[in-house]
Amino acid sequence: MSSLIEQLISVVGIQGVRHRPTDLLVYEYDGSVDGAVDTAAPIAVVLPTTTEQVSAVVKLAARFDLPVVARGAGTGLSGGAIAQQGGIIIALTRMDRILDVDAVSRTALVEPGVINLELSDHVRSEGMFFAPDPSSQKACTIGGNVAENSGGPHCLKYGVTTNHILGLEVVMPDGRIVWTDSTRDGFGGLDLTAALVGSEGMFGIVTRVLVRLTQTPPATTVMLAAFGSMEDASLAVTEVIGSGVLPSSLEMMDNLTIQAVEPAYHAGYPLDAASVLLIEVDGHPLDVAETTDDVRSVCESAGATLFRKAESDKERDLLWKGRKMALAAMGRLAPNYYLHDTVVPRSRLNETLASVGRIGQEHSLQIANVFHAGDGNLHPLMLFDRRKPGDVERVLSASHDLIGECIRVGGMLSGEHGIGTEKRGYMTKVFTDEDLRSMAGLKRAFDPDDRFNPEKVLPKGYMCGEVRALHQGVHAFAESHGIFPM
Amino acid sequence: MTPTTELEIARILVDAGNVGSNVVPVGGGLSLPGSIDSESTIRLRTDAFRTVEGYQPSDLTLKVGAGTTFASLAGVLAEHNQEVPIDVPHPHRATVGGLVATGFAGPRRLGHGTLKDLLIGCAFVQGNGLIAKAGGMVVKNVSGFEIPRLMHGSWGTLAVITSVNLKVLPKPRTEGTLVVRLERTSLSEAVTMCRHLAAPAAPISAMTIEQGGESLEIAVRIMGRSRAVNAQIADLKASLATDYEATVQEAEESAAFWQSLVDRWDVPETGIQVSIGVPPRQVNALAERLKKTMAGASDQTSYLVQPGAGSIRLRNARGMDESSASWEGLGSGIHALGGVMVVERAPTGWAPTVDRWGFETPARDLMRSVKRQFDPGRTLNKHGMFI
Repeated sequence: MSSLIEQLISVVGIQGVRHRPTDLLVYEYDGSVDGAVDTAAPIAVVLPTTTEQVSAVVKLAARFDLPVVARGAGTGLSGGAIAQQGGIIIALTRMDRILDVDAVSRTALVEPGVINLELSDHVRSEGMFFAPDPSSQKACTIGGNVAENSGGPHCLKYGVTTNHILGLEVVMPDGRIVWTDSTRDGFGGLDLTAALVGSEGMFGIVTRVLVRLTQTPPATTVMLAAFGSMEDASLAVTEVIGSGVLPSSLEMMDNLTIQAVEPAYHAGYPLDAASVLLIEVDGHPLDVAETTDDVRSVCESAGATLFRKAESDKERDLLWKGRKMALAAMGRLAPNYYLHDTVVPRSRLNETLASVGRIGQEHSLQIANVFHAGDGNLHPLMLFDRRKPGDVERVLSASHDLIGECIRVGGMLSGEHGIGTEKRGYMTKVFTDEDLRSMAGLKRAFDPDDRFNPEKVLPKGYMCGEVRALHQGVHAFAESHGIFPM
Repeated sequence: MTPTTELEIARILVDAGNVGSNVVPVGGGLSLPGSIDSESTIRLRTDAFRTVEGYQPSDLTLKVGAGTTFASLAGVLAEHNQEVPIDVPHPHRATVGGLVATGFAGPRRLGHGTLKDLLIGCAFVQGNGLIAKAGGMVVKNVSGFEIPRLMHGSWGTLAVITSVNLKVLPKPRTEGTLVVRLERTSLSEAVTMCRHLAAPAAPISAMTIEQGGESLEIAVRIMGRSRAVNAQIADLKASLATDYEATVQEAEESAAFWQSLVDRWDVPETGIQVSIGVPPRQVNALAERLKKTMAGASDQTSYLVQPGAGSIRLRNARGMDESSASWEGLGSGIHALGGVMVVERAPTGWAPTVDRWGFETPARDLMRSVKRQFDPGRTLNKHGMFI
């Protein structure tokens, strides 16, 4: 291995290579739950500062026949940045410059290691922000957001990461550097940018991102509504959307979450509420004022026991803090948690929440709920103590039931966290063999030798030689449907 | 041919692949490539795929057959005060599949995005006959790769789309359009005016500048609740100098104004129409460049500018000599501004020196690689398109 390490050092300098076992420890895991996702060590971690360095490292990896895993801040929750097959991790965190901000075009060109919140903070004074705001935004990187097509509470109105990416510079598995341009509305050829966003590091390594910035709306209001039951809160969610209001954010928290969050942050969540909704609307001040009144009426009709509108920026920020820092507060309740990510049609939210409660009871687990009710993206938090015998097993069993339940009501496997390693095994529950072969084809178009982040997303067998041959040409269809070429 | 099932589509593609025929998916037939009329071309119509399923107004999602006309879809959604926020020319002919495949975007993209932003799933038959689907029926989904959005703007080169799953939005309560008529104002000056009008942060749904001959019209569309719409339009009017002729179209008139605009700017049967995209901050520079290039034919040339989107469409009814050096100069000039020019309509017999699809990109190899996976036999749109 020393020849590899030497060559890596010659590309990025000695400060840019980690290879001693003790240095590699922190790269063995990410934000996912050990047990649900296996940890694994890479042979080396490289921290480049330029696109050319990334390209050179990729070429080296190919020469040594080693897989490559791109990594941002390592906050991912599905194991995407863990080197399951060993190889080289390319950490993009040192490529953290905001290269250009174009306030007229409302775009910014950034390196992948730029931290999500720092980008928004940087452009705020020009009346703009970067809309995708995952809860990990103080730490997660734009490159990671691109890889996972990250969401966040403001996706209800503003969309997910892919709606805000206009172009990408990527390093391909053979080291080629390619710019994909997604600004040309139907005349740009195939939308490779769209294919790359959400590709979980399996198609290319992103080295530059052209992001769309959003104009900060002239008025914003945040409201808190408390309910005596989860059902009432779910009903309110449906009624708000059904009344034609599209809030910029619509979040729900249950009592268990409130118990963790309120003593920590004193955001003003009533401790006796079964559930609270945090609702944000934005836009023209007159629209916001009228919409706020409508939301109040809807919540009150749905049985809100309390309705409060934030009257100051400070109050607004505090209400949000309770939501954004909810995970951090969970330590008050238990030493470990498994943060799930499933998404169901909004109309099945109530039913699904009831199932979550039932699964918790069946497995003797406390499950907190804090999530994006507006788009049906649930985040059940299973609380446990890893040191207690049987806890991990119960959590894994409950997780299995939970995912099954979400699929049953017409949901999908992941709303934000990605498939990674965590949910690979469930892909066959929501996609047919043909669907998966189609996806494998797309992967092959970018990475025919499966060099980038192997053994993620697609179930085992979809990248192997036998299936590859089957996929090509008309034979794929012919064999599976008994139609024989003439 | 008008297949009624995905299996039939697959058969057509496999059979065509075996004998080397060209298959072109056809929706409303409004955007067909010029090279379609050779004998061995099969037009694969999507007329039989017209169902609207799984529409849950409270979920804001539904599944639409690719052959459904946009007008039908809009009608279904309007019953629940919902919409797909784009203005489509010839909505009674344009199909949802066609709109997705051609990546159509109208002036409302400024405030409301495009179909790509609303696409949450699709079902399709690949060029090699594989019948598959991707995405789902939920508005946030990162399960598997983003094939639906790849299909957007793919112009029928990868697969025949049979249905799409869309996220829909509440219909705005009302709307209003401010129309400002200007004489003796250059396109570039109008762009600057637009920037000034758009400077306050209140959301604008669409903004265009239309010029033909001496007169020029700026139109700004505001959508929302009536008090906010009226207030915003009043603010816009107040920010204009007093000697401008400004009228306001309200509600249905406003909607009709925009429908008429997109109909008017649909690709014409004759003459030349060119669409140019640059980063929005370069629109002034582009406008000036275009004026110089078209100086000899200015009386026959009209323009539609969307300053916020960085787009200028140019139309010359009479047609021009394509070997003119000014076309080449224009192409490279646009490239220097970081933009792309696409010829939407050219006279038959034109073999323009300007690349019809207007883009140079090292990503083209990658596009070909994707094409090879979905349609290795090059059965779909064999002769035309960008790859």
